[in-house]
Amino acid sequence: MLKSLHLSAVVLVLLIARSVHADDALSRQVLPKGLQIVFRETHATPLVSLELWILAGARDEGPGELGCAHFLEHMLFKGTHLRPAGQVDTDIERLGAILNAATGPDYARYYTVAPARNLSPALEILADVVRNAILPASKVERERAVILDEIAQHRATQSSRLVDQLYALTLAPLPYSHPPAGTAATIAACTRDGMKRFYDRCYVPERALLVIVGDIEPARALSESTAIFGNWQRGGQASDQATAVAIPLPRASQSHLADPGPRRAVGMAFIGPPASSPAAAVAQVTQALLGTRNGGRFAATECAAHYSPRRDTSLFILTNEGAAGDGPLRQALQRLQTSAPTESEMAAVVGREAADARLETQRAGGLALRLGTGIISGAPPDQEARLRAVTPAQVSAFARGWLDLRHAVTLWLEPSFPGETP
Amino acid sequence: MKPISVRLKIPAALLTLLLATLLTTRLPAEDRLRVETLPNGVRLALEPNQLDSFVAFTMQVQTGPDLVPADRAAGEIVAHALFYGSSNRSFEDVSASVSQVGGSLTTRRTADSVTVTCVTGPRHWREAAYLLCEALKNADFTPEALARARADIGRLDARRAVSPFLSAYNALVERTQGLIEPDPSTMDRVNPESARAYFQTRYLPSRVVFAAAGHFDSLAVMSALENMLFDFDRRAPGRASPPSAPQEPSDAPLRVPAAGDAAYALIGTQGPRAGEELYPAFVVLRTLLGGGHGSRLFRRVRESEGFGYTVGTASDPLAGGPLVAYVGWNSRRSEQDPAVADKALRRLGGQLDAVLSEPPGEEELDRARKLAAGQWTIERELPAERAEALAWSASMATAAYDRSLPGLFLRVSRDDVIRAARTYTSRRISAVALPPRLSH
Repeated sequence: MLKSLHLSAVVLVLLIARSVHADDALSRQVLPKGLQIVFRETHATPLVSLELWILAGARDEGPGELGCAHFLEHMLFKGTHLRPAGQVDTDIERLGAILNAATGPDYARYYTVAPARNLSPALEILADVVRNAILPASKVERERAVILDEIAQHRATQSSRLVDQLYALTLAPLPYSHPPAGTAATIAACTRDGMKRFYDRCYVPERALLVIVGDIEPARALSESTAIFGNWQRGGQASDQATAVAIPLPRASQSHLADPGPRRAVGMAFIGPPASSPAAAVAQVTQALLGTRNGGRFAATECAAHYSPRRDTSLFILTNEGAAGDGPLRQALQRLQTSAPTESEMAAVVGREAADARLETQRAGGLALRLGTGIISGAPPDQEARLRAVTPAQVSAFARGWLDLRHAVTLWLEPSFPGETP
Repeated sequence: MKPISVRLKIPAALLTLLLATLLTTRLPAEDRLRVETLPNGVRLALEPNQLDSFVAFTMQVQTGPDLVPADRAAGEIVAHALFYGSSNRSFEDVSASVSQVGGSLTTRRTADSVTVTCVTGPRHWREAAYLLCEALKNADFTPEALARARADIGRLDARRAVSPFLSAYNALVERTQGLIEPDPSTMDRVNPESARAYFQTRYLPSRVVFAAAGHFDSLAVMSALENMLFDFDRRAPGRASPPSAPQEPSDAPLRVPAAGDAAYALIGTQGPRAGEELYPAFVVLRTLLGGGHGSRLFRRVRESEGFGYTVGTASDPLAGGPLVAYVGWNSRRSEQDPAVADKALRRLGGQLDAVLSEPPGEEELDRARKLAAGQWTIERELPAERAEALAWSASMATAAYDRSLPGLFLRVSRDDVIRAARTYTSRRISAVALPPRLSH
């Protein structure tokens, strides 16, 4: 009897352990045609987040295709073989959800959050948009105007203009030197044929990742996804045509550009590690330690540190939109290079990052975004453990090695108002 | 011995199986809404969900409208100084508590209310609740506290000024509510005495709702809040001065400067508060006009005309804010057509008019109703969102009202939408955000 109870107790413990950790488990599957699927269960609210990521960002644009990644993302909503223009939105909104999309340096991303009971019809609509687009020529010119309006909105903040210009100056002629949204010139030059080539080449299952997070059992999510995406045919080309191009470290330089903003602003760019590099975690901690006006060493100033790890070369950028110019940026760098941060400062920074991540991933959509960003950029898993393992000495060494002022590309935006914009 | 062993083995296995089933079956979230009014008039509304990872407390005070600039200035500074020291605890103590509870403490002010929400981990709920109750009872307004509050307000203003849309939106909302933004000298004149007077006369128990949502034990939280608030017995001294009449909104479009190439046009209308008869119809109307990519504004302005990227409607509906229809475009269009801003306003106004001249058909209405109901769930995904919605709901109607909304949205008829449009969208105020080189 004791043996029997002992065995029962073991079974019980195992079952309890399974139930406790069910929400934390990440399941991954690759369908035979190459589509990767990632599931994560969360049950606080009856919602499910669906994200379809395609390796089809600015990085993947070939000659003559600049701006196509973003333009195409808009054109996918202009009708499919199954639904006329507008029907996709009406259909998904009747499910209580809104379908949206975004283009980044490495990806195009189509996403929605829907009531979990509507998983199947929402997946079907998502698949229709991405797989069956007709790209009607009659809609191209009207959408071009919309995208130019969008670019103007993106350029409304001085910080965006500064970061875009630093990428352009530092990384030309790589595709990463172009803003993922395109520029007025590249969008003006996009053609329907160019977009169609890009679509046929990049929108294939072996370049796609489906992330499902929410109040859904993985087995059901897998069976629904397989039923809807299982017959998506391979593209037949190399899975990732874009190749990383090593660029030489730039020499220190100073440039000035006229800008419509009311104040002078300055930015300094350094070549930083890609997402897959072990140094990416050190770069992220360094960025958080310097921070922005909201926290870190730059708190209550107009300075900010920026680092968004990408698949290939990523920039580490420091900006100051205040009156003090580049002095505070240089001083902050010098301090980091000459003395390592204290253990307590490091603990506070990493603790803040972890807390921010926990808050951000409370939403099914926030968690799906984080999972998708990590996988698509090639970042190793277990982000929090990697951040916690970073030491003060590594931060100081990173500042000396990667943030060397002899390789800083410095850009000044000079106010052009009153008068004409550049 | 053998038969005994068999008899015992079977119940043991059954017991184990039963326990295992119970423990591995996901228990439904405890979702019972608990509502209570304390003897001093403070209303409590708790909605636990053990599947959440966080707990959120919202303290809402219906301070009443600030119709003169001096009151508005005092109200603004008091709201931002609430946590900069209490007569029982130093600023440093309070700061340490804020960090300990996770540091997520947000304050939001409307024309006549203050809403403070604190989010923390389940283990720290008591500290978060204490922090809010302490501020409510014993906030003090020393010169240092006021200076910190002014610095906070300055930083918020600077952040808003960076966004032309937010600048225009805030200016429009203030105008629709007849408010006058206090000028810097009025803000400077707020002193510890005027701040304390404002606090003592507006932050009264009968005007307070405390709401909690997320991972907590409702019995423990209810009991703790009762204990923490039992001695909150502030009463309004004498008769309050009669409120002045709100400013009559001007019809002239507001003009807001915008940096960069972006330009925006906005039109604001009136709006009902949660609990009012036409509130569900108003939300469906807002969705029909500008919610989602199937809305009239998106389809007719952006998709059919190719004008604007950001197109839609916004509102702060539970608070009774206006419905704001907006469109953003590239201001360089103005170089080809200087009248583009006026045309943008006419496009928005035309769609508001069209609700009456081209009432929605059943298919269009069906999309709007279902999207409004679906978005209700999405907008309450986080404990903080649920706690705030609960507080608004308890302040404006009943705590249970918010939960009834998805069902009410699905029952809105075409006539209801037309009635809401007639009632709330006839009086309009507009705003335009343009780069300075074009704003003449």
